[in-house]
Amino acid sequence: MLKYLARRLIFMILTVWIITVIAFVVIQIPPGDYVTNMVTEMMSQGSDRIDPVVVDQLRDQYGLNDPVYVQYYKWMKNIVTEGNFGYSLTFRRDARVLIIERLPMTFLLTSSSVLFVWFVSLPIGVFSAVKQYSIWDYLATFIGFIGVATPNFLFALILMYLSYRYGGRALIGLFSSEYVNAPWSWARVADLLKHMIIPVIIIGTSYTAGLIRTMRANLLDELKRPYVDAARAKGLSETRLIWKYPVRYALNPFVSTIGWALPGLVAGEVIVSIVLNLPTSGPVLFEALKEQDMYVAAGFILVLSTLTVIGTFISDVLLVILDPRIRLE
Amino acid sequence: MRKLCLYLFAILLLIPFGKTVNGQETYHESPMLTALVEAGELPPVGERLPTNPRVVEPFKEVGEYGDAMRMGFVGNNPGWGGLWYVTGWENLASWAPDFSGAVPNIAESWEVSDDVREYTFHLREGMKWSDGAPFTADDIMFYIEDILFNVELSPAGPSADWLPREGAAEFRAEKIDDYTVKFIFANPYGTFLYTLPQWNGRHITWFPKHYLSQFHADYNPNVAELVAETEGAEDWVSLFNIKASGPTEDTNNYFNNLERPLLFPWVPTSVLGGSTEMNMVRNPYYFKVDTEGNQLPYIDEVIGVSYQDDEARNLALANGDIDYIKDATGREFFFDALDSGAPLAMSFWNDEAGNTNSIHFNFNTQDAVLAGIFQDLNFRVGLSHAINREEIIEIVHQGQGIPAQVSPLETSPLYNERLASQYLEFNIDLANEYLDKVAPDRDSDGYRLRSDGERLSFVLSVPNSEAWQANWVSVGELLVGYWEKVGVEALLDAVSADVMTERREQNNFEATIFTGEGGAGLTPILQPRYYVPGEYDSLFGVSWYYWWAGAQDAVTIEPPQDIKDLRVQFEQVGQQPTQEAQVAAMTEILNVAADKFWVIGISRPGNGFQPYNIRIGNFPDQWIHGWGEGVEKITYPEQWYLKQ
Repeated sequence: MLKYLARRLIFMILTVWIITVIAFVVIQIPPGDYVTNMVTEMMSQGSDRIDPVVVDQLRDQYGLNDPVYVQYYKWMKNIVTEGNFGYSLTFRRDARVLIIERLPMTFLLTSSSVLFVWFVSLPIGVFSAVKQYSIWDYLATFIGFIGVATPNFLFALILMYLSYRYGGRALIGLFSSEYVNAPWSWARVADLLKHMIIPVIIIGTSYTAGLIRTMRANLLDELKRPYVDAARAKGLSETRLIWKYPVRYALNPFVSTIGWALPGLVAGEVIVSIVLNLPTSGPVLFEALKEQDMYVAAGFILVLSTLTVIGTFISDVLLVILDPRIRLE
Repeated sequence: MRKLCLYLFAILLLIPFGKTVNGQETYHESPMLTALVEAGELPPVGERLPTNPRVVEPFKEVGEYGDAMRMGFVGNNPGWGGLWYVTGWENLASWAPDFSGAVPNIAESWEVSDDVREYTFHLREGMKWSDGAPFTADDIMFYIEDILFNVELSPAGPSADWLPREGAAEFRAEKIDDYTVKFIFANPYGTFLYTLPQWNGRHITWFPKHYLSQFHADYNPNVAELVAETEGAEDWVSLFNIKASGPTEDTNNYFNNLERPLLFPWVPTSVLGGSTEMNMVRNPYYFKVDTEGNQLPYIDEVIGVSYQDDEARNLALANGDIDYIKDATGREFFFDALDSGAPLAMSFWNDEAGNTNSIHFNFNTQDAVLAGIFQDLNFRVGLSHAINREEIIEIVHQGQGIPAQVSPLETSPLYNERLASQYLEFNIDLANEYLDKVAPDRDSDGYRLRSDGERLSFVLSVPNSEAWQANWVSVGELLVGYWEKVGVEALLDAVSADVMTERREQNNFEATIFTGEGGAGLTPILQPRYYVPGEYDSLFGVSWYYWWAGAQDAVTIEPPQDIKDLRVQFEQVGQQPTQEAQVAAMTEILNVAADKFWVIGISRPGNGFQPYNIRIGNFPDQWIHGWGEGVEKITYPEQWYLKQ
């Protein structure tokens, strides 16, 4: 077991390292750099006198004239030796501070969404497998497919419009205006919970549908096994039977999805957060990529990919515990 | 008699609030500040204001103090998102609200020598930075001597937006006394006063010496310690630039530096970061009052709300969640919202611009044959005649505007009829006639052939990533269709504005579409982008511009002699002492522009619209809108107020 864990750990570190290299290089592939972006922004406002001498000076100041590998080396060195993620050119602040400020909300949102997904899809999945081809099964399937097929942003826009049209105001953001910069209090938490419903539903819906289908298919496989018949023949009550044996086996892929659900949820969160204007990491990451604010972008990707890899690791470990049939070699 | 007594009583009552003893005026302040004064945290209003404050006449009525205005912007930059135009932008001079000329602002008055080489500015005695430190001639001298003429901060020699490149090194400034500074230019500079209210004039009063000298190596021998503890600073020069938000830094970085003293009506108290909002509060030392002696601004606080997406911002404005946005898009949405009872008011602005778009052919494009064709006047005239402008106006601009070339507006003293109306007629035969002079032969598909036998084809790069570029691709698509009918193949390439910036620097585009500034009043002189080569946005000769500017990273091409001569001739416009002489000299330049036909225009812009929350008072119903006018700044946001 220990050997297995150690091997997984080494692979994890390797994976994260490769991701950072790719991320750092890919961010710099588009033509231009942060200074180009800054000039464009000034110009887009109408400024017509942007001294090229100043532009050259800025590139020097930000170290953008160095080759990519030098920039990468400096960045990595600072992270490893000092835990310094670099400097945000857009926000003029430590990139680490920016990441730390945004991550809690992101994880609150994604973990709530994961819980939402589980709480909804597990019972529905079990139900539609047990009552296969009943009207309820069809209904669950139908709603599930709509959920899969509707793009997140469209769903977000529809809910925003409905809340504006019938609720009097569009539910935008994670806090009401009076709580945005207020210190934490119960009222603020309540306000947050109120605002989280819509994003959680939106982010969760498409995954819920997927998981319902997975759960249903797996359970159907298990239900046909002889041990189920044997248990039934021995007189075990139907509810106890289903929850105790087939569901436990069917859960297997359920757990392993933690790994791939996390990055998916984080990606889905980006679009939803942009549309709904949520203070999560998604919009900052998106803007940083657009503006080539590379330390922020690469920093976010590093942190998010690390967490995703850890998520996969946890799901692997859980699987081993849950299912003794999995081999450690 | 009783009535008279009442009047007398009323007058008696009024006295303590109006003029008082010792001939000194008493001023009124926001209750928010009165509380601070009573708590002993602030000196009284009379001591905070200069002895002769700038008096602003409210646009509609004297406003009420208080409340917080919420402003929505898209992206992560509060300044460029709109707050700079509302809460910033205070220069030595400002525009009169009707754009009739420059009026004293931070400067109380000025004198100009007869040869327009010497400008003497009188500052306001007792004026203060937002931290209470005095603002004096020393601050301006600090900028000139320790920044502009510092070899480390300005390694390429003195360079500023307001300083003509020619003779920059010979420019001098003299401190006469604490409140008087004299600027002495090497050459006559007749348009200097018009430069002051603009963006280009921002640096002169931008640098608080008492705060910034700690980051300057000449003043602080231990500056290295501060460099070490500042994130993003590598040496004292970058440290200074970061802390000062200039001279080489983006001015709008001041929104990220809370301790930096400012002269603006509101100063930031929180930065954008963890939440979607940033806060600003009134500057207790702001130097303006209204006609009744109330210290401005009326509005106590400004809250900047960041949106990632324009639609969410529009919805929030219609919701009443925010009060104001810059660059509203979605005309139909807002007029629908207005009709269905959203808490909105609508103001209309006259666009400063001379045209909706300018079409540029890169005269120095890398393909030499193509460059030769682009330089041929007949080619551009032919393409201009091939454009169905009425159709573009109908399809793209909702029927607003009239066909026109890029030229000064009829209302401008610089209006040039030939420049405005030549080659406008939509006439395929005429277009073919001109184009036959350039490339008469055609291939089997009906496209014209170049002299080397290849098809006459070029790439039309259209930037489309900014909100204000939203309809440019539609224009480009229509142009491609029109030009195909006359045998010229244009390939539409929609690119992000960023990519376009890169292509400018690398001289790596063939033709493009851009804006049409330079219409109202004297803006054709101040923003001559499409009338003379050698400006940043003179995209038809973009590499010439980089040659003049001495760029290192960009491709530079030395202009031919006649272009250089024209540039010299243009520089002389700004040297004329009087407006009449400037107009006369610029008219010559515009005549050349009409001969050369640098760019092709589409149409005059129609009226713009500006939705805002009904609770904002003193917002003008009509105004002149443009970058040169300071966008919102010409509406004097310090006199906006929020109705209770």
